[in-house]
Amino acid sequence: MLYRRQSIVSRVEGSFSMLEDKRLVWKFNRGDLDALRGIYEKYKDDLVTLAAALLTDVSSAEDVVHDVFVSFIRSSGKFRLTGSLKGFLATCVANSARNRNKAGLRHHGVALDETGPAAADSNHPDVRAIFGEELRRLSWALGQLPYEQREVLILHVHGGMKFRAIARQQGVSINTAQGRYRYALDKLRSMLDGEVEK
Amino acid sequence: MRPADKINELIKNLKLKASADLDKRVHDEISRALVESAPAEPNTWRTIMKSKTMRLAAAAVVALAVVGGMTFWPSRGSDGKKWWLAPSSAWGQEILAALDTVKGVTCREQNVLVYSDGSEHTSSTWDIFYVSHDSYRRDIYDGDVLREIQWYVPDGAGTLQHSVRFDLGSYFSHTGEGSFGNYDPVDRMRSYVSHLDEADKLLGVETVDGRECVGFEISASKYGNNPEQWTDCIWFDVETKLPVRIEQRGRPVTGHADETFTIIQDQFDYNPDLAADTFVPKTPEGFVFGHPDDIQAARKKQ
Repeated sequence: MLYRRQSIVSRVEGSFSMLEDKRLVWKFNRGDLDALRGIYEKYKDDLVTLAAALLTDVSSAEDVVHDVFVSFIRSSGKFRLTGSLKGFLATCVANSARNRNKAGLRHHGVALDETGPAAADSNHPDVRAIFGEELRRLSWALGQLPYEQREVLILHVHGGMKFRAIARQQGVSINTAQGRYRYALDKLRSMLDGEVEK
Repeated sequence: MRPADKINELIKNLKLKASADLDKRVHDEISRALVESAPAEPNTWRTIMKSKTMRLAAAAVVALAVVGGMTFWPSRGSDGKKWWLAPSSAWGQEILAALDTVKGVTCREQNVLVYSDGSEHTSSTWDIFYVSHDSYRRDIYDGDVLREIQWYVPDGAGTLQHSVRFDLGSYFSHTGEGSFGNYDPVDRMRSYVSHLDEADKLLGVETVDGRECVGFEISASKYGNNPEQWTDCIWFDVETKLPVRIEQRGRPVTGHADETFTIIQDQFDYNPDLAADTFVPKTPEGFVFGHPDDIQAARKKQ
Protein backbone atom coordinates (compact mmCIF):
# COMPACT_ATOMS: atom_id res chain seq x y z
CA MET A 1 0.00 0.00 0.00
CA LEU A 2 2.78 2.35 1.05
CA TYR A 3 4.76 1.45 -2.06
CA ARG A 4 1.71 2.12 -4.24
CA ARG A 5 1.20 5.53 -2.60
CA GLN A 6 4.88 6.38 -3.05
CA SER A 7 4.67 5.31 -6.67
CA ILE A 8 1.65 7.58 -7.29
CA VAL A 9 3.34 10.51 -5.53
CA SER A 10 6.47 9.92 -7.57
CA ARG A 11 4.49 9.88 -10.84
CA VAL A 12 2.65 13.09 -9.96
CA GLU A 13 5.94 14.76 -9.03
CA GLY A 14 7.40 13.55 -12.34
CA SER A 15 4.52 15.13 -14.27
CA PHE A 16 4.97 18.45 -12.47
CA SER A 17 8.69 18.31 -13.14
CA MET A 18 8.14 17.70 -16.87
CA LEU A 19 5.67 20.57 -17.07
CA GLU A 20 8.15 22.83 -15.34
CA ASP A 21 10.84 21.71 -17.80
CA LYS A 22 8.61 22.51 -20.77
CA ARG A 23 7.95 25.96 -19.35
CA LEU A 24 11.68 26.57 -18.77
CA VAL A 25 12.55 25.41 -22.31
CA TRP A 26 9.80 27.59 -23.78
CA LYS A 27 11.18 30.64 -21.96
CA PHE A 28 14.76 29.71 -22.81
CA ASN A 29 13.89 29.50 -26.53
CA ARG A 30 12.49 33.02 -26.32
CA GLY A 31 15.79 34.38 -25.14
CA ASP A 32 15.19 34.17 -21.38
CA LEU A 33 18.59 32.93 -20.28
CA ASP A 34 17.49 33.11 -16.66
CA ALA A 35 15.40 30.06 -17.50
CA LEU A 36 18.69 28.37 -18.31
CA ARG A 37 19.90 29.19 -14.80
CA GLY A 38 16.81 27.40 -13.53
CA ILE A 39 17.59 24.36 -15.68
CA TYR A 40 21.20 24.33 -14.51
CA GLU A 41 20.26 24.61 -10.84
CA LYS A 42 17.68 21.86 -11.21
CA TYR A 43 19.94 19.28 -12.83
CA LYS A 44 23.54 20.25 -12.03
CA ASP A 45 24.09 17.73 -9.22
CA ASP A 46 22.59 14.84 -11.18
CA LEU A 47 24.68 15.67 -14.22
CA VAL A 48 27.93 16.08 -12.29
CA THR A 49 27.27 12.74 -10.59
CA LEU A 50 26.55 11.07 -13.93
CA ALA A 51 29.68 12.47 -15.56
CA ALA A 52 31.82 11.60 -12.54
CA ALA A 53 30.56 8.04 -12.56
CA LEU A 54 31.34 7.77 -16.27
CA LEU A 55 34.80 9.31 -16.06
CA THR A 56 35.58 8.39 -12.43
CA ASP A 57 37.11 11.83 -12.14
CA VAL A 58 35.29 14.78 -10.59
CA SER A 59 37.32 17.58 -12.23
CA SER A 60 36.75 16.18 -15.71
CA ALA A 61 33.10 15.63 -14.82
CA GLU A 62 32.65 19.30 -13.98
CA ASP A 63 34.38 20.29 -17.22
CA VAL A 64 31.94 18.08 -19.12
CA VAL A 65 28.89 19.62 -17.44
CA HIS A 66 30.29 23.10 -18.09
CA ASP A 67 30.83 22.30 -21.78
CA VAL A 68 27.33 20.85 -22.10
CA PHE A 69 25.74 24.01 -20.73
CA VAL A 70 27.92 26.26 -22.90
CA SER A 71 26.66 24.33 -25.96
CA PHE A 72 23.14 24.45 -24.63
CA ILE A 73 23.28 28.25 -24.33
CA ARG A 74 24.05 28.42 -28.06
CA SER A 75 20.93 26.41 -28.91
CA SER A 76 18.64 29.12 -27.54
CA GLY A 77 15.82 29.81 -29.98
CA LYS A 78 16.14 26.54 -31.86
CA PHE A 79 16.10 23.86 -29.16
CA ARG A 80 13.29 21.36 -29.57
CA LEU A 81 12.44 19.17 -26.60
CA THR A 82 11.21 15.82 -27.93
CA GLY A 83 11.55 13.78 -24.73
CA SER A 84 12.51 14.53 -21.15
CA LEU A 85 14.88 17.42 -20.54
CA LYS A 86 16.83 15.42 -17.99
CA GLY A 87 17.20 12.60 -20.53
CA PHE A 88 18.41 15.04 -23.16
CA LEU A 89 20.98 16.61 -20.83
CA ALA A 90 22.11 13.16 -19.63
CA THR A 91 22.62 12.15 -23.26
CA CYS A 92 24.69 15.29 -23.90
CA VAL A 93 26.79 14.58 -20.81
CA ALA A 94 27.30 10.96 -21.90
CA ASN A 95 28.37 12.06 -25.40
CA SER A 96 30.76 14.65 -24.08
CA ALA A 97 32.19 12.20 -21.54
CA ARG A 98 32.65 9.60 -24.28
CA ASN A 99 34.46 12.10 -26.51
CA ARG A 100 36.64 13.12 -23.61
CA ASN A 101 37.41 9.50 -22.84
CA LYS A 102 38.21 8.76 -26.50
CA ALA A 103 40.44 11.78 -26.83
CA GLY A 104 42.30 10.76 -23.69
CA LEU A 105 41.62 14.14 -22.18
CA ARG A 106 41.24 12.80 -18.66
CA HIS A 107 43.80 14.49 -16.54
CA HIS A 108 44.74 13.50 -13.05
CA GLY A 109 42.22 15.54 -11.16
CA VAL A 110 40.30 14.56 -8.10
CA ALA A 111 39.22 10.95 -8.46
CA LEU A 112 35.68 10.08 -7.54
CA ASP A 113 36.85 7.97 -4.64
CA GLU A 114 38.91 10.83 -3.22
CA THR A 115 36.00 13.17 -2.69
CA GLY A 116 34.37 13.65 0.64
CA PRO A 117 31.52 11.35 1.54
CA ALA A 118 28.67 11.87 -0.84
CA ALA A 119 25.24 12.42 0.56
CA ALA A 120 23.52 9.07 0.47
CA ASP A 121 19.88 9.25 -0.38
CA SER A 122 18.86 7.90 2.97
CA ASN A 123 18.23 9.29 6.39
CA HIS A 124 19.39 6.13 8.06
CA PRO A 125 22.54 6.97 10.05
CA ASP A 126 24.16 3.56 9.45
CA VAL A 127 23.71 3.85 5.70
CA ARG A 128 25.14 7.33 5.80
CA ALA A 129 28.15 6.13 7.80
CA ILE A 130 29.13 3.27 5.48
CA PHE A 131 28.33 5.00 2.22
CA GLY A 132 31.66 6.76 1.92
CA GLU A 133 33.60 3.49 2.05
CA GLU A 134 31.21 1.70 -0.28
CA LEU A 135 31.40 4.57 -2.72
CA ARG A 136 35.18 4.36 -2.75
CA ARG A 137 35.08 0.62 -3.47
CA LEU A 138 32.41 1.04 -6.11
CA SER A 139 34.31 3.88 -7.76
CA TRP A 140 37.48 1.82 -7.88
CA ALA A 141 35.59 -1.12 -9.41
CA LEU A 142 33.79 1.11 -11.94
CA GLY A 143 37.17 2.45 -13.02
CA GLN A 144 38.30 -1.08 -13.89
CA LEU A 145 35.46 -1.63 -16.37
CA PRO A 146 35.94 -0.89 -20.09
CA TYR A 147 34.35 2.46 -20.83
CA GLU A 148 31.52 1.08 -23.00
CA GLN A 149 30.37 -1.30 -20.26
CA ARG A 150 30.60 1.36 -17.57
CA GLU A 151 28.57 3.67 -19.79
CA VAL A 152 25.74 1.18 -20.28
CA LEU A 153 25.64 0.39 -16.57
CA ILE A 154 25.66 4.01 -15.40
CA LEU A 155 23.25 5.33 -18.03
CA HIS A 156 20.79 2.51 -17.35
CA VAL A 157 20.96 2.41 -13.57
CA HIS A 158 21.79 5.99 -12.68
CA GLY A 159 20.50 7.85 -15.73
CA GLY A 160 17.36 5.68 -16.00
CA MET A 161 17.85 5.32 -19.76
CA LYS A 162 16.38 2.39 -21.65
CA PHE A 163 18.71 -0.12 -23.30
CA ARG A 164 17.26 0.81 -26.69
CA ALA A 165 18.30 4.46 -26.24
CA ILE A 166 21.74 3.52 -24.94
CA ALA A 167 22.22 1.08 -27.83
CA ARG A 168 21.35 3.85 -30.27
CA GLN A 169 23.88 6.15 -28.64
CA GLN A 170 26.62 3.56 -28.74
CA GLY A 171 25.74 2.52 -32.27
CA VAL A 172 25.26 -1.11 -31.27
CA SER A 173 22.33 -3.51 -31.11
CA ILE A 174 20.11 -3.61 -28.05
CA ASN A 175 21.36 -7.12 -27.36
CA THR A 176 24.95 -5.88 -27.28
CA ALA A 177 23.97 -3.12 -24.85
CA GLN A 178 22.15 -5.60 -22.63
CA GLY A 179 25.13 -7.96 -22.84
CA ARG A 180 27.48 -5.15 -21.80
CA TYR A 181 25.22 -4.40 -18.84
CA ARG A 182 25.14 -8.02 -17.66
CA TYR A 183 28.87 -8.45 -18.18
CA ALA A 184 29.62 -5.21 -16.31
CA LEU A 185 27.44 -6.31 -13.39
CA ASP A 186 29.14 -9.71 -13.28
CA LYS A 187 32.58 -8.11 -13.27
CA LEU A 188 31.62 -5.53 -10.70
CA ARG A 189 30.16 -8.18 -8.44
CA SER A 190 33.27 -10.31 -8.72
CA MET A 191 35.58 -7.32 -8.10
CA LEU A 192 33.61 -6.13 -5.10
CA ASP A 193 33.47 -9.66 -3.68
CA GLY A 194 37.23 -9.87 -4.14
CA GLU A 195 37.68 -6.64 -2.25
CA VAL A 196 35.57 -7.89 0.60
CA GLU A 197 37.61 -11.08 0.77
CA LYS A 198 40.82 -9.05 1.06
CA MET B 1 18.87 -8.31 -1.50
CA ARG B 2 20.57 -9.95 -4.50
CA PRO B 3 24.15 -8.80 -5.19
CA ALA B 4 23.07 -7.29 -8.54
CA ASP B 5 20.29 -5.35 -6.79
CA LYS B 6 22.75 -4.13 -4.22
CA ILE B 7 25.15 -2.90 -6.88
CA ASN B 8 22.28 -1.17 -8.70
CA GLU B 9 21.20 0.40 -5.42
CA LEU B 10 24.73 1.62 -4.74
CA ILE B 11 24.99 3.19 -8.18
CA LYS B 12 21.59 4.86 -7.79
CA ASN B 13 22.71 6.30 -4.47
CA LEU B 14 25.80 7.92 -5.92
CA LYS B 15 25.30 11.64 -5.36
CA LEU B 16 27.78 14.45 -5.80
CA LYS B 17 27.24 18.16 -5.50
CA ALA B 18 28.37 20.60 -8.16
CA SER B 19 31.19 22.72 -6.78
CA ALA B 20 30.96 26.47 -6.23
CA ASP B 21 33.61 26.83 -8.93
CA LEU B 22 31.41 25.07 -11.50
CA ASP B 23 28.41 27.18 -10.43
CA LYS B 24 30.44 30.33 -11.03
CA ARG B 25 31.77 29.18 -14.41
CA VAL B 26 28.33 28.26 -15.75
CA HIS B 27 26.56 31.34 -14.37
CA ASP B 28 29.32 33.55 -15.81
CA GLU B 29 28.80 31.94 -19.23
CA ILE B 30 25.06 32.55 -18.99
CA SER B 31 25.60 36.17 -17.97
CA ARG B 32 28.01 36.67 -20.87
CA ALA B 33 25.48 35.20 -23.31
CA LEU B 34 22.76 37.36 -21.80
CA VAL B 35 24.79 40.49 -22.48
CA GLU B 36 25.68 39.43 -26.03
CA SER B 37 22.20 38.39 -27.10
CA ALA B 38 19.41 40.75 -27.99
CA PRO B 39 16.23 38.85 -27.17
CA ALA B 40 13.83 38.86 -30.09
CA GLU B 41 10.20 39.77 -29.54
CA PRO B 42 8.12 36.69 -30.05
CA ASN B 43 5.67 36.96 -32.91
CA THR B 44 3.32 34.02 -33.08
CA TRP B 45 2.40 34.37 -36.76
CA ARG B 46 6.00 34.91 -37.80
CA THR B 47 6.99 31.90 -35.70
CA ILE B 48 4.41 29.79 -37.47
CA MET B 49 5.35 30.95 -40.93
CA LYS B 50 9.09 30.59 -40.27
CA SER B 51 8.61 26.96 -39.40
CA LYS B 52 8.28 24.62 -42.36
CA THR B 53 6.38 22.08 -40.28
CA MET B 54 3.95 24.65 -38.99
CA ARG B 55 3.47 26.06 -42.50
CA LEU B 56 2.63 22.60 -43.77
CA ALA B 57 0.37 21.98 -40.79
CA ALA B 58 -1.42 25.27 -41.44
CA ALA B 59 -1.80 24.32 -45.12
CA ALA B 60 -3.10 20.89 -44.10
CA VAL B 61 -5.71 22.45 -41.86
CA VAL B 62 -6.88 24.63 -44.74
CA ALA B 63 -6.94 21.64 -47.11
CA LEU B 64 -8.89 19.52 -44.65
CA ALA B 65 -11.39 22.31 -44.19
CA VAL B 66 -11.92 22.37 -47.96
CA VAL B 67 -12.35 18.62 -48.36
CA GLY B 68 -14.16 18.25 -45.03
CA GLY B 69 -16.30 15.19 -44.74
CA MET B 70 -13.83 12.76 -46.30
CA THR B 71 -13.46 9.42 -44.50
CA PHE B 72 -10.12 8.54 -43.01
CA TRP B 73 -10.17 4.81 -43.78
CA PRO B 74 -10.62 3.57 -47.34
CA SER B 75 -14.01 2.32 -48.40
CA ARG B 76 -14.93 -0.92 -46.66
CA GLY B 77 -15.44 -2.99 -49.76
CA SER B 78 -16.72 -6.53 -49.62
CA ASP B 79 -14.40 -7.70 -52.36
CA GLY B 80 -12.87 -10.84 -50.90
CA LYS B 81 -9.73 -10.51 -53.02
CA LYS B 82 -8.96 -7.01 -51.80
CA TRP B 83 -8.58 -8.04 -48.18
CA TRP B 84 -7.05 -4.71 -47.23
CA LEU B 85 -10.33 -2.97 -48.00
CA ALA B 86 -11.99 -4.86 -45.16
CA PRO B 87 -12.36 -3.22 -41.73
CA SER B 88 -9.00 -2.77 -40.06
CA SER B 89 -9.71 -5.46 -37.46
CA ALA B 90 -10.31 -8.02 -40.22
CA TRP B 91 -7.28 -6.73 -42.07
CA GLY B 92 -5.17 -7.28 -38.96
CA GLN B 93 -6.50 -10.85 -38.62
CA GLU B 94 -5.52 -11.58 -42.23
CA ILE B 95 -1.96 -10.45 -41.55
CA LEU B 96 -1.70 -12.27 -38.22
CA ALA B 97 -2.88 -15.46 -39.90
CA ALA B 98 -0.14 -15.04 -42.51
CA LEU B 99 2.45 -14.37 -39.79
CA ASP B 100 1.38 -17.57 -38.02
CA THR B 101 2.75 -19.52 -40.97
CA VAL B 102 6.22 -18.04 -40.52
CA LYS B 103 8.67 -20.53 -39.03
CA GLY B 104 11.76 -18.53 -39.86
CA VAL B 105 12.70 -15.29 -41.57
CA THR B 106 15.76 -13.46 -42.76
CA CYS B 107 15.93 -9.76 -43.48
CA ARG B 108 18.33 -6.90 -44.01
CA GLU B 109 18.53 -3.88 -41.70
CA GLN B 110 20.12 -0.56 -42.61
CA ASN B 111 20.35 2.88 -41.02
CA VAL B 112 19.78 5.94 -43.17
CA LEU B 113 20.87 9.36 -41.91
CA VAL B 114 18.51 12.15 -43.01
CA TYR B 115 20.10 15.60 -43.06
CA SER B 116 18.26 18.84 -42.42
CA ASP B 117 18.02 19.54 -46.18
CA GLY B 118 16.33 16.17 -46.73
CA SER B 119 19.37 14.51 -48.30
CA GLU B 120 20.17 11.02 -47.09
CA HIS B 121 23.21 8.89 -46.35
CA THR B 122 23.01 5.14 -45.88
CA SER B 123 25.31 3.75 -43.20
CA SER B 124 28.01 1.36 -44.42
CA THR B 125 27.14 -0.97 -41.54
CA TRP B 126 24.20 -3.26 -42.16
CA ASP B 127 22.87 -6.48 -40.70
CA ILE B 128 21.20 -9.66 -41.80
CA PHE B 129 18.91 -11.33 -39.29
CA TYR B 130 18.07 -15.00 -39.18
CA VAL B 131 15.22 -15.78 -36.81
CA SER B 132 13.62 -19.13 -35.97
CA HIS B 133 11.11 -19.92 -33.23
CA ASP B 134 13.79 -20.18 -30.54
CA SER B 135 17.03 -18.90 -32.03
CA TYR B 136 18.37 -15.77 -33.53
CA ARG B 137 21.46 -14.87 -35.51
CA ARG B 138 22.70 -11.51 -36.65
CA ASP B 139 25.44 -11.04 -39.24
CA ILE B 140 26.93 -7.56 -39.16
CA TYR B 141 28.65 -6.21 -42.25
CA ASP B 142 30.85 -3.16 -42.80
CA GLY B 143 30.29 -2.56 -46.50
CA ASP B 144 31.02 -5.93 -48.14
CA VAL B 145 33.05 -7.26 -45.22
CA LEU B 146 31.49 -9.53 -42.61
CA ARG B 147 32.61 -7.99 -39.32
CA GLU B 148 30.73 -10.02 -36.73
CA ILE B 149 28.27 -12.85 -36.19
CA GLN B 150 26.11 -13.01 -33.07
CA TRP B 151 24.14 -16.11 -32.14
CA TYR B 152 21.41 -16.28 -29.49
CA VAL B 153 20.45 -19.91 -28.95
CA PRO B 154 18.68 -21.81 -26.15
CA ASP B 155 20.97 -23.06 -23.39
CA GLY B 156 19.12 -24.88 -20.64
CA ALA B 157 16.62 -22.45 -19.13
CA GLY B 158 18.49 -19.45 -20.51
CA THR B 159 20.07 -18.21 -23.72
CA LEU B 160 23.62 -18.60 -24.91
CA GLN B 161 25.01 -15.50 -26.58
CA HIS B 162 28.00 -16.36 -28.72
CA SER B 163 29.68 -13.76 -30.88
CA VAL B 164 32.63 -13.90 -33.23
CA ARG B 165 34.49 -10.73 -34.22
CA PHE B 166 36.35 -11.32 -37.46
CA ASP B 167 37.98 -7.89 -37.33
CA LEU B 168 39.41 -8.58 -33.86
CA GLY B 169 40.07 -12.30 -34.28
CA SER B 170 38.11 -12.96 -31.09
CA TYR B 171 35.01 -14.65 -29.75
CA PHE B 172 32.89 -14.30 -26.63
CA SER B 173 30.26 -16.48 -24.98
CA HIS B 174 27.85 -15.68 -22.23
CA THR B 175 24.76 -17.46 -20.95
CA GLY B 176 22.02 -15.34 -19.46
CA GLU B 177 18.42 -15.54 -18.43
CA GLY B 178 15.47 -15.09 -20.76
CA SER B 179 14.99 -15.36 -24.50
CA PHE B 180 16.97 -13.89 -27.35
CA GLY B 181 16.02 -10.28 -27.01
CA ASN B 182 13.83 -7.65 -28.52
CA TYR B 183 14.94 -7.90 -32.11
CA ASP B 184 12.63 -10.62 -33.36
CA PRO B 185 11.19 -9.08 -36.55
CA VAL B 186 8.12 -11.33 -36.47
CA ASP B 187 7.28 -10.21 -32.93
CA ARG B 188 7.70 -6.64 -34.04
CA MET B 189 5.34 -7.22 -36.96
CA ARG B 190 2.72 -8.73 -34.65
CA SER B 191 3.06 -5.74 -32.37
CA TYR B 192 2.50 -3.35 -35.26
CA VAL B 193 -0.56 -5.23 -36.45
CA SER B 194 -2.07 -5.16 -32.96
CA HIS B 195 -2.03 -1.34 -33.24
CA LEU B 196 -3.57 -1.25 -36.71
CA ASP B 197 -6.76 0.35 -35.38
CA GLU B 198 -4.66 3.28 -34.14
CA ALA B 199 -2.82 3.83 -37.44
CA ASP B 200 -2.38 7.48 -38.40
CA LYS B 201 -2.54 6.88 -42.12
CA LEU B 202 -3.19 4.10 -44.61
CA LEU B 203 -0.59 4.18 -47.35
CA GLY B 204 -2.75 2.82 -50.18
CA VAL B 205 -1.62 0.43 -52.88
CA GLU B 206 1.87 1.08 -54.15
CA THR B 207 4.86 -0.83 -55.48
CA VAL B 208 7.53 -1.35 -52.84
CA ASP B 209 10.72 -3.21 -53.67
CA GLY B 210 9.05 -4.48 -56.83
CA ARG B 211 5.93 -5.88 -55.16
CA GLU B 212 2.40 -4.58 -54.99
CA CYS B 213 1.90 -3.57 -51.38
CA VAL B 214 -0.47 -1.89 -48.95
CA GLY B 215 0.70 -0.34 -45.74
CA PHE B 216 0.07 1.96 -42.86
CA GLU B 217 1.85 4.62 -40.88
CA ILE B 218 1.74 4.86 -37.10
CA SER B 219 3.31 7.20 -34.59
CA ALA B 220 5.66 5.38 -32.22
CA SER B 221 3.86 7.19 -29.38
CA LYS B 222 0.90 4.85 -29.99
CA TYR B 223 2.79 1.77 -28.84
CA GLY B 224 5.26 3.11 -26.32
CA ASN B 225 6.52 6.08 -24.40
CA ASN B 226 7.99 7.65 -27.52
CA PRO B 227 7.84 11.13 -29.08
CA GLU B 228 5.05 11.71 -31.61
CA GLN B 229 7.61 12.67 -34.26
CA TRP B 230 8.81 9.08 -34.43
CA THR B 231 6.77 7.40 -37.12
CA ASP B 232 6.86 3.87 -38.42
CA CYS B 233 5.67 2.63 -41.80
CA ILE B 234 5.04 -0.97 -42.66
CA TRP B 235 4.14 -2.36 -46.08
CA PHE B 236 2.56 -5.76 -46.75
CA ASP B 237 2.61 -7.78 -49.96
CA VAL B 238 -0.99 -7.95 -51.18
CA GLU B 239 -0.40 -11.53 -52.36
CA THR B 240 1.32 -13.07 -49.33
CA LYS B 241 0.00 -10.56 -46.73
CA LEU B 242 3.48 -10.62 -45.20
CA PRO B 243 5.58 -7.52 -44.49
CA VAL B 244 7.89 -6.39 -47.26
CA ARG B 245 9.42 -3.32 -45.71
CA ILE B 246 9.45 -1.63 -42.29
CA GLU B 247 10.74 1.90 -41.79
CA GLN B 248 11.22 3.52 -38.39
CA ARG B 249 11.55 7.21 -39.23
CA GLY B 250 12.43 10.38 -37.40
CA ARG B 251 14.72 8.87 -34.78
CA PRO B 252 16.95 11.56 -33.27
CA VAL B 253 20.65 11.81 -33.96
CA THR B 254 22.42 12.60 -30.74
CA GLY B 255 24.04 16.02 -30.82
CA HIS B 256 22.46 16.96 -34.18
CA ALA B 257 19.00 18.30 -33.46
CA ASP B 258 18.24 18.98 -37.12
CA GLU B 259 19.09 15.49 -38.33
CA THR B 260 17.23 12.19 -37.96
CA PHE B 261 17.81 8.64 -38.93
CA THR B 262 15.61 5.92 -40.33
CA ILE B 263 15.97 2.21 -39.62
CA ILE B 264 14.92 0.18 -42.65
CA GLN B 265 14.22 -3.52 -42.65
CA ASP B 266 13.72 -5.06 -46.09
CA GLN B 267 14.67 -8.03 -48.26
CA PHE B 268 12.49 -10.29 -46.12
CA ASP B 269 12.71 -13.96 -46.96
CA TYR B 270 10.05 -16.01 -45.18
CA ASN B 271 10.59 -19.66 -44.33
CA PRO B 272 13.93 -19.70 -46.17
CA ASP B 273 15.76 -22.92 -46.82
CA LEU B 274 18.51 -22.33 -44.29
CA ALA B 275 21.54 -24.52 -43.77
CA ALA B 276 21.09 -26.92 -40.84
CA ASP B 277 23.91 -25.27 -38.90
CA THR B 278 22.69 -21.67 -39.31
CA PHE B 279 21.98 -21.41 -35.59
CA VAL B 280 24.99 -23.42 -34.42
CA PRO B 281 27.68 -21.09 -33.04
CA LYS B 282 31.04 -21.62 -34.69
CA THR B 283 34.40 -20.18 -33.72
CA PRO B 284 37.17 -20.02 -36.32
CA GLU B 285 40.39 -21.69 -35.29
CA GLY B 286 42.94 -19.46 -33.60
CA PHE B 287 40.44 -16.86 -32.40
CA VAL B 288 41.05 -15.71 -28.82
CA PHE B 289 38.40 -15.60 -26.11
CA GLY B 290 37.48 -12.16 -24.76
CA HIS B 291 34.79 -9.56 -24.74
CA PRO B 292 35.31 -7.14 -27.67
CA ASP B 293 35.36 -4.20 -25.24
CA ASP B 294 38.18 -5.79 -23.23
CA ILE B 295 40.18 -6.70 -26.33
CA GLN B 296 39.85 -3.22 -27.81
CA ALA B 297 40.74 -1.60 -24.46
CA ALA B 298 43.82 -3.85 -24.14
CA ARG B 299 44.92 -3.00 -27.69
CA LYS B 300 44.50 0.71 -27.04
CA LYS B 301 46.80 0.40 -24.02
CA GLN B 302 49.42 -1.31 -26.19
